[in-house]
Amino acid sequence: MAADDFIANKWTQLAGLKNGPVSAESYRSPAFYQLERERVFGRSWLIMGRVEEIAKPHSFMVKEIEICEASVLITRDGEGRVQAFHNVCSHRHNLLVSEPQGCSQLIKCPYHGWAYGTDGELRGVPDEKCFVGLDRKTAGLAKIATEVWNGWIFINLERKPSVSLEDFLGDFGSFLANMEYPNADNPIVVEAQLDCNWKVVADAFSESYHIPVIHPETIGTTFASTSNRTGRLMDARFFGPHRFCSMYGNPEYRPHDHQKVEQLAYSQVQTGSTIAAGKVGSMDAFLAHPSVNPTRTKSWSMDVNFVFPNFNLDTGPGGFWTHHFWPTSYHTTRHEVRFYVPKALTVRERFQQEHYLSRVIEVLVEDVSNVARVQRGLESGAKDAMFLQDNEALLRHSVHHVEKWAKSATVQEAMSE
Amino acid sequence: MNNSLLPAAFADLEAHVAEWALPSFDARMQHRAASSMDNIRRFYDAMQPRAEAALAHLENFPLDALPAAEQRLMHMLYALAQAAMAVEIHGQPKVGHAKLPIAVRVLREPLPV
Repeated sequence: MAADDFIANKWTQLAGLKNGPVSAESYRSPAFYQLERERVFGRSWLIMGRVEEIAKPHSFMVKEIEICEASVLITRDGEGRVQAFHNVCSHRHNLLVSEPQGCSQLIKCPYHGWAYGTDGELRGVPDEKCFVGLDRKTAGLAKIATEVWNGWIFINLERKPSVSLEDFLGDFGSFLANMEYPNADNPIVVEAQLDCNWKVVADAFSESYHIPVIHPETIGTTFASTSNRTGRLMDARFFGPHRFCSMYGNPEYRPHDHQKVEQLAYSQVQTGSTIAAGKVGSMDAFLAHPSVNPTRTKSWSMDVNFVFPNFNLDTGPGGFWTHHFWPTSYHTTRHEVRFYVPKALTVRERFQQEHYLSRVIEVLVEDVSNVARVQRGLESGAKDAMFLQDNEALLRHSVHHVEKWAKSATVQEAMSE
Repeated sequence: MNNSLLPAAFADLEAHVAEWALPSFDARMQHRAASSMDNIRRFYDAMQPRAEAALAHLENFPLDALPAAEQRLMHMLYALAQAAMAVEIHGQPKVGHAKLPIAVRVLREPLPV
């Protein structure tokens, strides 16, 4: 393929947007951040994790949504139902669970010992006789609207969500429906506290224009080649506030001769082991999904499925991985990444995973070491607007929909065409 | 009782154990990122030629129940993966513009650790 074969200049138009500068205000304005708190994160369905994280009856996990000052307790009760609650004791509002996850039929408040079932019901009150008129039925944990969709746990912080999850996902739900998630029970979990607005880091994982420049040694030669030097997209699609793109991959990539450790780590993969063969079957179903590498090209590195507002589901030849971009202030972010990997059964597989993780961490370090510089540039106020090219259409789409939700009085208005 | 730090066939690598056989991903990654290139290179040059033999030796044991000396050797291999980032990829100890300590933390490593 010649370089110009990858010029599309149609993604922006497909996103329903016009070319031209994009305002930088939503990345640096404390006032806008307040609108994001109430109108974006306060009203959207948010992906909190996967059902495999609380696989057993009576298991639970705690997730923080800093921007909304919400601590969320997600449980699987004795009947297997998944439900989210505010992680707040009904008595004096102490935060109930302090560990990130656990498994227990009774969850006890560490302050005065009030105890709750994993179904959120109040089960025990020390010296209950002294609480005159206490009705246990009305003193359970505060429920949060919860839906499980294809193994993803969504919550909505509105007491009565203005939109159903089905309508919120719209056509993106059909696009992603019935995807297989290989190794969903075995994530590597990574976290970084970053000095940037949450959209700055989300943007870094929504385009491949930066890859040959910021990642020249780690993945520059895997995401670009002489036929696509600047990481032009293979495909992009837009679904209401959600978005998708497919990124180019260099099919000719091989380790250099001097990369002895990389060659050793991957030697088993090249020769094919019986265990890898056993796993190929489960990967096939995932790779056969019509929305994984939808252009069916060999020159494919990965796809980005961005679920509005802050979740990134990535798919690639080796499986899937995710990003959560959690705002912690208008210019700080907690970035969570999960790489879902097979359980290593042999020493060589385990060594390969160590090399794989070492490398992807270096890529993350390259990305997240730059975001604070972007934020400083934004906050300097030097410029009012950013210039985005057609292959950065997902960023333009992101700003457009975040701004739309922030200025809309109702969710119906935010979701209107 | 055998007090060797590493399996007998790898005794020549014992001088590197204290510095590189660190028990967590973050510890190995931060150590490599903060080390000098000469230091990383010394370890890489000693360990890389022995890596295949180390993997072959470790294959004789159950992955999730390695004896102490074998576990240290496994951690040395993991550290070699870190050293390879500097030697084979960056040509310097860490990503050039990254600040120390590295901001990225691994909360759950590949298993077994």
